[in-house]
Amino acid sequence: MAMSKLDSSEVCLTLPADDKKLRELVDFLKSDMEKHNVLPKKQFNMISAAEEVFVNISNYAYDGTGHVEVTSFVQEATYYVRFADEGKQYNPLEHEDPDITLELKDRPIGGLGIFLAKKLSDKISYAYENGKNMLTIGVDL
Amino acid sequence: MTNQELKIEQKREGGKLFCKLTGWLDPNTSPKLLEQVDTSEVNSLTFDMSDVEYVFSSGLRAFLVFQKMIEGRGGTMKLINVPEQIAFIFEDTGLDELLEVKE
Repeated sequence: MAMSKLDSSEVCLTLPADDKKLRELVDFLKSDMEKHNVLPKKQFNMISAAEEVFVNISNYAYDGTGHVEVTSFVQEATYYVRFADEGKQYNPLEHEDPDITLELKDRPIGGLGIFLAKKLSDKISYAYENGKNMLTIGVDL
Repeated sequence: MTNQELKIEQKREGGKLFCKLTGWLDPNTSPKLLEQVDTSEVNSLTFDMSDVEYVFSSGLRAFLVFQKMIEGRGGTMKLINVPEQIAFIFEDTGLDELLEVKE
């Protein structure tokens, strides 16, 4: 785990893309959000959304092992967390939402993760730059 | 305190199974829930969620699997004492329509 200060508000954490590292991600986000006075409900939403993004990258971005760079920053009264990986180019926001109106017996069990990340964040965006997938999620301050 | 481990306390009375969960339902712990809760011969399954800190999508999927198993044999499942913010997750995903979720 490597943590470095980029400027007064940007903080970066690099983690192996492995869902066993979830706790390190959550501990990092919790203490960082406390510093930025993110409301408890928004903290919960951010952690829940961030978990889905992180687990998605851990499961699908790399064929072998790889890393995820997690950067937090505050901009215009929003607390943002950006996830950057160098895995396969993939925009999860283009993925169709699961049909939650289906009967339970007809409903596929997958596809909930990114749907939840979209629902729980106030802002979400994707960019592919310099060989990196960058998914940024934000919650209002 | 962050508690990533999941504790499962089970009480069985005939066809009724009561499970008190404590901790997180994440990709590492949700498979454990599916493994450790044996629903064979159970027609009433209750999860007490009062001490659950997070339910991520892997946890939601586990509840859907239990619901499918229980419903398949005509039984019922419910989640009780669900913390408010976790209840919102069930609402946001529409799962509150499929599962009995009580705050």
